[in-house]
Amino acid sequence: MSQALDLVRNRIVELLPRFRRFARTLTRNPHDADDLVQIAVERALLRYEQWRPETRLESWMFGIIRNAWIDEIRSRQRRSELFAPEESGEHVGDQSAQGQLEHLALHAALARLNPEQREVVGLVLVEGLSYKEAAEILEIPIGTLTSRLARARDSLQAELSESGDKPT
Amino acid sequence: MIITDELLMAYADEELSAEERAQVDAALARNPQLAERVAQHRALRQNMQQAFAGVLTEPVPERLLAAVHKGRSAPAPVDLAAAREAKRGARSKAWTWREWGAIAASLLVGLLFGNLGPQSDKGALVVSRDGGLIAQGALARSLSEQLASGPLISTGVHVQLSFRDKSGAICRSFLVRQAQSYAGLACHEGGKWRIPALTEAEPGSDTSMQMAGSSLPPVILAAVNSRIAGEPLDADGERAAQARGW
Repeated sequence: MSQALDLVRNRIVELLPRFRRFARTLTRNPHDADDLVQIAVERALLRYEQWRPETRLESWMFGIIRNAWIDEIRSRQRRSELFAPEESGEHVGDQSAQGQLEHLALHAALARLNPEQREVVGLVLVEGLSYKEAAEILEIPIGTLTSRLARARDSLQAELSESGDKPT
Repeated sequence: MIITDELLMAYADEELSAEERAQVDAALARNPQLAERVAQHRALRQNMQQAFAGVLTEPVPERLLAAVHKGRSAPAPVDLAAAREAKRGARSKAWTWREWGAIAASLLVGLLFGNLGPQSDKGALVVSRDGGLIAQGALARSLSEQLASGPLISTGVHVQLSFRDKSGAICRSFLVRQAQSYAGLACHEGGKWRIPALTEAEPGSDTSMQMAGSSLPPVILAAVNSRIAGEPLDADGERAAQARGW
């Protein structure tokens, strides 16, 4: 077992709470989120040599998590598994549990974003990455990131003020 | 320099160069509307962080730690369906309720009780415990003491309908009217009122309700319908249930 691998493992353990949080902004479902983190961890360990120490490990992992989620979305579509439209996403799974979240304003608002907007919101607003870091992870120009983020915010804001929860 | 909304957003996110920032500062000083927009951008960011902050303090599931330490011998599951399949043996549907509860709690703390600050636990009607939500204070008392069919008591809590759920536990829907109104469902388990569903309510929607299921917010109605065994309790049934300690 190499030292580099041990290092990666230790860092991943430290960062697991953040990976879970990021995964939750993507999937909106704690179960899927943890499954996603698990897959990403396994993938990361298989190719830990690809991690360049000059990159922050979390950025590298966020990228893996995000790519694993895209794979998952695609494979669900291929399997034409019940992949609910954005608005009704909360109805998949346990109705009663999901119900309690349904109306919580922010969650509802987040659910209305498309996956591209959600990953931007997750990285910048929730994880607090800079535009540059987020754009690198998503492999998009910074201008694209900025406009995606602006659109996502507009739509979150619109949802929130509609539900009477105006930010103060 | 034209002050676009994207620029204000980048300003709020502290993404601007010193020069750009100075220009925006000047514009903000001239135009309070712009300043308000910046405040909105900041508030949204803060709310979003609060809404997910709870995840960081949740215990990390054992299986994730195991995944980190696992040797490279075991094949990685290809997708979530496979991962779920692999997991099924270890953890039979033992519920995501805890996890949902934790998320819901973090959202609630952010959205509903966020303004109460450090003493929030004290005045709060709902606390998060063991990953679930539990009624306390005036809410817990009202749930135990107030009869939906009885006279209205002005505690700010209004118990609406009572029913027995599929497991035989008594559940009651309620409405809390405070600065912010919310509606919820509480089920009596182990001497406590657990709250499997909670939502913000329309202010002033409780005028004529007592029983009327139609006045329940849809999410609470759905929670009731997914649990209820038979019909809601009538006045006698409710009294009898109360006499038995729910």
